[in-house]
Amino acid sequence: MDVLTDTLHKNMKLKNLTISPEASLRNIGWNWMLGEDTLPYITNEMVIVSEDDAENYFDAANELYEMYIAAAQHVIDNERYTELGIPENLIELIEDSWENDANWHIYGRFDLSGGLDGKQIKLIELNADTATCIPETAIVQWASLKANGLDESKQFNTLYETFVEKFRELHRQNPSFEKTLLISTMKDFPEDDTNMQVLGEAAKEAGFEVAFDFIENVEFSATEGIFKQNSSNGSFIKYDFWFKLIPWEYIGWDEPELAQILTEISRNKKAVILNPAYTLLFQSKAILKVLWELYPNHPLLLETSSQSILGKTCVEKVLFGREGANVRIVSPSGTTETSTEGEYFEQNTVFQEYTEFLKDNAGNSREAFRYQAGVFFVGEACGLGYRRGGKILDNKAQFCGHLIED
Amino acid sequence: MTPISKKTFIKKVKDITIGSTIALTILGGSIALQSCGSDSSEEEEYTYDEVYTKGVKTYISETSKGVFKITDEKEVPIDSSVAIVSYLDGKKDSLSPKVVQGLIDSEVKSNPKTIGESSNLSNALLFGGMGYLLAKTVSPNYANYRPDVNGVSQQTNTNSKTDTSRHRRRNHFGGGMGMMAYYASANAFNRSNQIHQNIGNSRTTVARPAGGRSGFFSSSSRSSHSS
Repeated sequence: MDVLTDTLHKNMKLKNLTISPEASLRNIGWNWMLGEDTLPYITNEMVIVSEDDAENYFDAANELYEMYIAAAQHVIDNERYTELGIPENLIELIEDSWENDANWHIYGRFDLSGGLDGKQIKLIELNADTATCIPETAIVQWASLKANGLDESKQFNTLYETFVEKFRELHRQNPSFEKTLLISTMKDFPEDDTNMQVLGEAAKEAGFEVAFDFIENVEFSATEGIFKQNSSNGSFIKYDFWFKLIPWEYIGWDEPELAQILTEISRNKKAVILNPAYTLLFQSKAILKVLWELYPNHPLLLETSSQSILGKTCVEKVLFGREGANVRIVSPSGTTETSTEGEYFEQNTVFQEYTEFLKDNAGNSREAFRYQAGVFFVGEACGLGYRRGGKILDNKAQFCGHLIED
Repeated sequence: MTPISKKTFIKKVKDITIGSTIALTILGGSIALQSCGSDSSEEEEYTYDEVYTKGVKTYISETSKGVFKITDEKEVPIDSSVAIVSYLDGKKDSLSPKVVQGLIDSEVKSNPKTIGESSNLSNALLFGGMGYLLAKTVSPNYANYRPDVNGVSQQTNTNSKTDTSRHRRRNHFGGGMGMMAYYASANAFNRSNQIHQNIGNSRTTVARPAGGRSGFFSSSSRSSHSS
C-alpha cells in the first residue's frame, strides 16, 4: 500500500457543525444532555463514516447477536450460572423467558472498538438489559444534521422506526396480551426517563397504550399481574407489558421478593416483562469468556479469560460493571496501569485482551479523544453512535454523532 | 422482524420519519415530518383477556326496510353486553357479543367495500358500542374501521403524522357521512361516545390487586444503573 494513502487512512475524519444541538436540547427540556462544567455532552463534531464502514458495523452486530444466542444456550444447557454471577433467585425466570420468548428482547447496544480506518471491529460488550443512548442516537444526531442543513447526507440510523416495528411484532407474537405498556425507571435519573420517553413514543406509534411510573410506585401481584395506581381515584390499572430500565441483577440482589413475584407473574402469564430476564446472561461479562471458548480467535472477539492473560495487556472488568466503573488495565507482567473506582468492587471479574480505541487527530487544538462505537440491535442492527473520552470510557464520556460520506 | 435488503439501514436523513412530539419539539416545529405508512391491519387471533369491566347494551331499530339505527345505548357490566334489535315487522332479537362478532365478520368478508356506507344491521353493530367493545377485546381488526377505538377522535382533522391510518381508512369511516349516521339522533350519538370511552377506561381493578406489593427500590442506594 502506498505509504501516503496509508497515513491519511489512519486519521479519523470529523465534521464540525456550525449549529450546535444545544438550543434544540434546551427547547425540549433534555437539559441533562447539555453536560456539566464546560464540556458539552453532545459534541459539535460528527464522525465521518463510509458506507462500507457502516455496512461492516451492521454485519458485525448481526453476527455477534447470533453468537450471543449460541453462548446463552450453552450457558443454560450446562448450567454455568454461578460462573456468570447470575443471582440464584433469577434462574427460573431466566429459563422461563428463554423457553417462551416471543420476540421479547426489545433492544440492546453493542459497544465496539475499531470499525474505521481499516481497523478490525472488536466486541467490547453487549448492553442487553438496560442500554441507554437512545435519544442521542435515534433523535439528536439526526436533528443535528437537519439543523445544519445536511439533508443529503446519510446516517446509519433507523433506530426509532425499528422500535415501532418491533413493538408491532411484539404484539403480533403475543396476541393474548393487551396492547398496554407500563415503563418504569428508578426515581431521580432524568437521563433514564428521556431514554424511556423515546421508547414509549415508539410503542404508542405501534398502537400501545403507554404509561410511565417509577418502580417504587408500581404494584406487583403474583396472581393478577402488574398495575399502576390511578392517582385520581386510587384504583389500579393493569398493564400486560412492562418494560423496566432497572438491571435484573439489582432485582435479584436487592429485591428478592420482587424477583419471586415476577417469576410467578411470568409463570401465570399475567404480564410480559421486558427486557426479558435472559438478557442478564448477555449482560454478564463472563459471557465474553464463553464466546471465546465457542468461537476461539474469531475476528470480532477479544480473548477473554478468568485470569490475566500472560504476555498481553488486558482489561479486568467486574461481571456486572456499568459505565466503565471498576475497570483496571493490567500490563503483560500483571501490574496495574490504570483503574477506575466504583460500587461493584465485590464482584468477580474477567480479563479481556486490551484493544486500542479509534483516536482522532485534532492536531494541537486539544488532546486526541478515543472513540467507541455503539451499535443498537433491535431484531437487527439499526443505529450507530459514538462515545468518546479517555482510555477508559466512563460516565463522563461525550456522545458524538456520525454521518455517512464516501 | 422482516429481513431487510442490503444497505436499507442507511437512509437519507430526509427520509427519516420520527412521528413523535419529541421530534417536533426538538426541531422547534420548523420541519414538516413525513408520514410513516403503517400496515398492522392483518387479522390477528385474539383470545379474550378479562381486563375490561364495563360493557354495553345497544338498542337498534329497523327504521325503514333494511335500514338500521342505534336508538340508545346503556353501560352495563361486561358480561351483560347485548344488542337488542327491533325489526319493522315487530319481531325482536337479543344478540350476544359472539353472534354480533359473527355477523360483522361475515359482512367484512362478503361486502368489504361497503363497510361504513351500508345501513344494514351488521354495519350498525360495527359502528355502535358493540363494535367498540369487540374491537377492544376480541376483534382488534375492527379498529381499522373505527379509529376512535384507539383514541383517535373522528372529528379532529389534523395533519399530524399519525394521520396516515386515518387517510387509509377514510373510505370506511362512515363513507363521509360519519358514524353519527348510524344513530337515530345526535343525542344518542353523543351519549354513546361517552359510554364507549367509559368502556375503554374500565380496565381497572377497583381495589388493590390480590397480594399486591409496591415500594421496591424506594430506598435504593444505587448510583448508576443504565449502561
